[in-house]
Amino acid sequence: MIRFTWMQSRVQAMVGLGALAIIAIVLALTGPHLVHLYDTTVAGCAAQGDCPAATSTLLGNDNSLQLVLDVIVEVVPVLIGLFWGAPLVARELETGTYRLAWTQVTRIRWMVVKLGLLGLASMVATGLLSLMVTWWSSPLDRVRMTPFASFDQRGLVPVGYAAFAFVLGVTAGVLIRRTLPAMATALGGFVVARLVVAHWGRPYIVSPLQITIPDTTIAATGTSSASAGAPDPRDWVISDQTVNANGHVIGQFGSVGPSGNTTVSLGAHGIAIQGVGSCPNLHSQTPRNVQRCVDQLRVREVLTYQPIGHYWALQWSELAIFLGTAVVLSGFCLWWVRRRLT
Amino acid sequence: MTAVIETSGLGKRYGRKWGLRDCTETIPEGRVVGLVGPNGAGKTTLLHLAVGLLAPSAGSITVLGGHPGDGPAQLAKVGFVAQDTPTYAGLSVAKHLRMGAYLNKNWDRQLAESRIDQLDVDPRQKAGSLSGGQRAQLALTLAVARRPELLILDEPVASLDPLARREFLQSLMEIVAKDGVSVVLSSHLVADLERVCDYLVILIASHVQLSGEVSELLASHWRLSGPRRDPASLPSDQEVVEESHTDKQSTFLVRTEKPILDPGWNVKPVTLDDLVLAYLSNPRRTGRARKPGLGVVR
Amino acid sequence: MIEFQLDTASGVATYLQLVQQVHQALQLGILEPGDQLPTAQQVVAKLAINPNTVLKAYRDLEREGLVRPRPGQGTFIVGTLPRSDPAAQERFLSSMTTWLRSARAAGLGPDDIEAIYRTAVRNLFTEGVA
Repeated sequence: MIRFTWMQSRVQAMVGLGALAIIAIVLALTGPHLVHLYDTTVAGCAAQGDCPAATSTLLGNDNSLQLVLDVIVEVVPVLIGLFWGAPLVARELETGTYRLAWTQVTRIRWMVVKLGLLGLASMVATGLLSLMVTWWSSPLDRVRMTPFASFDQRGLVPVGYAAFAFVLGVTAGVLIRRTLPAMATALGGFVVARLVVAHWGRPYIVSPLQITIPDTTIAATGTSSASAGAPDPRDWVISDQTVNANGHVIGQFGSVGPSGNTTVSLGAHGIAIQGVGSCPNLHSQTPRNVQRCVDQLRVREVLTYQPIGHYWALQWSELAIFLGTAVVLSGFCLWWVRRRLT
Repeated sequence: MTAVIETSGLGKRYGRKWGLRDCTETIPEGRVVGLVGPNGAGKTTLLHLAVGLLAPSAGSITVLGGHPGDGPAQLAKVGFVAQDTPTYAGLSVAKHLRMGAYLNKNWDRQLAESRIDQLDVDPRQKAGSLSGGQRAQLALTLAVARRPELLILDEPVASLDPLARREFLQSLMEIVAKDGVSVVLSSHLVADLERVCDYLVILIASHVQLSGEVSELLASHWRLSGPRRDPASLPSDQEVVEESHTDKQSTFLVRTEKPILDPGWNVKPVTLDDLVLAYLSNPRRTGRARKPGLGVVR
Repeated sequence: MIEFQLDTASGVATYLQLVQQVHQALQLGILEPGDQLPTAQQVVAKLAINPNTVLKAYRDLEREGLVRPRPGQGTFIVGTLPRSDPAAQERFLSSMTTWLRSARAAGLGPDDIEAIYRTAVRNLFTEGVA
């Protein structure tokens, strides 16, 4: 059965290997250059004081390739789910060849080998791809210092996505019994699952940290309203809430009110911060006085964030979620094919 | 005598409709069994139940003493060719044979290769580009080279031209002669039945109407023609299968174990084809299975 | 070696056709004692008939004393057709003629007589089957 599966899937395997090989060659040709550039310009830029220039030069390199790689890593699990997973059972049912296959071998053996072999191949291929792209991007990622922004496309999680997409495709094919609708359903299901996990799972699956910091945004005449409050620039801020003396949330990112612009005025009662209160003891609206008023009124920011130290724990956790779901779905498929497809 | 297929109250329901109902049959080994009936009668349902592609909704079925589809040992005993002889269109003939070798412990490679040689087809040709007859022979090879004890074929010649049909049947009969394998063959065509089948099961509207050894069936069915008569006036041991009347004449097809003594009848034997046609056009509505009469002496 | 044919339109059972063809071949001298009959496999490969039919025909021929199987080798002709006794034929012809005359005198026509004949033959020869 193993040899038969290989014989049947040879074309798909060759296509996948070929694509991987091409990507490997392109990355092997362009990667070392990035490393060299990093070592020579960015590594020592602090001493030379030209970091902004050095980093932007580095980041400007191979721009289109960066984009293409990110897209490829996102798309490969989808392609696997659609073209390896969905047709696995659906095609046999649609064309009627299941009447040949399942009278030559038992359907359990057939399913187990196909799911196992192709599932494994999906994970290995995507794992290799992720490895290559992570290696190639590492100089750029070090400079960008936003590892959580590229969380989906690096490290371990693409392997989980691929396994999940594959088994989801197979499940859709088993239930819907026709290839094209199964592909559409698997695509929809995959996108929804990814969004749900990224939005509601990833921030909380490893308990995030929380700190309270002084609110310096209101007093700043400055251009940015985004707080730079997390301890490490690479940390992932999940929420940044402005709270008052009672601990109630009165705004986001250090400002008060829904619009993002805190109204501060000077009046008979001294400096007044709209929606919070006033400081009668301060009579001139200087940035230093506004800050004093903010601290007097005990307006603070509460940051919920995932520290950079949690990065790998989050990668493993999300991998576990998708792999675990894939295993459960595989069991369901096996049961359904055995019991319900008769 | 052992049975290749034994059913007891077997039934299969699709939603609310029964594809097969109240099937209680014992099919003896060493026969070429013809399963005859119109399209939609339940033939494919019965055959799929026998190979484990379907599970019963009611009753039970045993094939060669085992439960259909239950593990590799059971699968190895039965060779199956499904309707329209499915093959993998993208795989070559040679790859299909390799598939057989990979999947079956008892694969007879020599037999498979010699059969394909006789076909005069390039083994590298993809199955999708074969003619209907060639594909049917390939599917038969995939079933036969497993050396099963029982071959089940679902309408294998229905969509073949007459020459391909003849060649397929020649192949099949040769296999029976050589290996002594039992065969169950379904068809909605009536021609060629008598030359090929020695056991018959007639299935109409999900019920078995008639079953038995062909020689016994032929010996117990007669066509009577004579002056116009009411069927109720016939002796009780003569069961009327088909009747037709003009104003002066009546013709009956009767089933009886006793001799027909009335000299007023013109009595003729019936060919198997005519017998099957008579049952096909006159199915019993209650659909209770008709069994050969008790007390038949072999 | 004899080559069997099948006449599907004749209404005669297949095995019977095979038996009759062997009889005819023996009478015409196409088959002689010592000749081998085709194997079941050979017959069905050409005619696409059930091999049991061939075996049944050969068993009938063996019962008639015309053939004998040799294990591992095939089925061989061992006898000739019994020529029926001409004196017996003469006796039955004359008793039949007497019977026919009295039937005609009673008003029966050829078709009535044929119906009676067929009924009698059938009842006599199927008694052993039922």
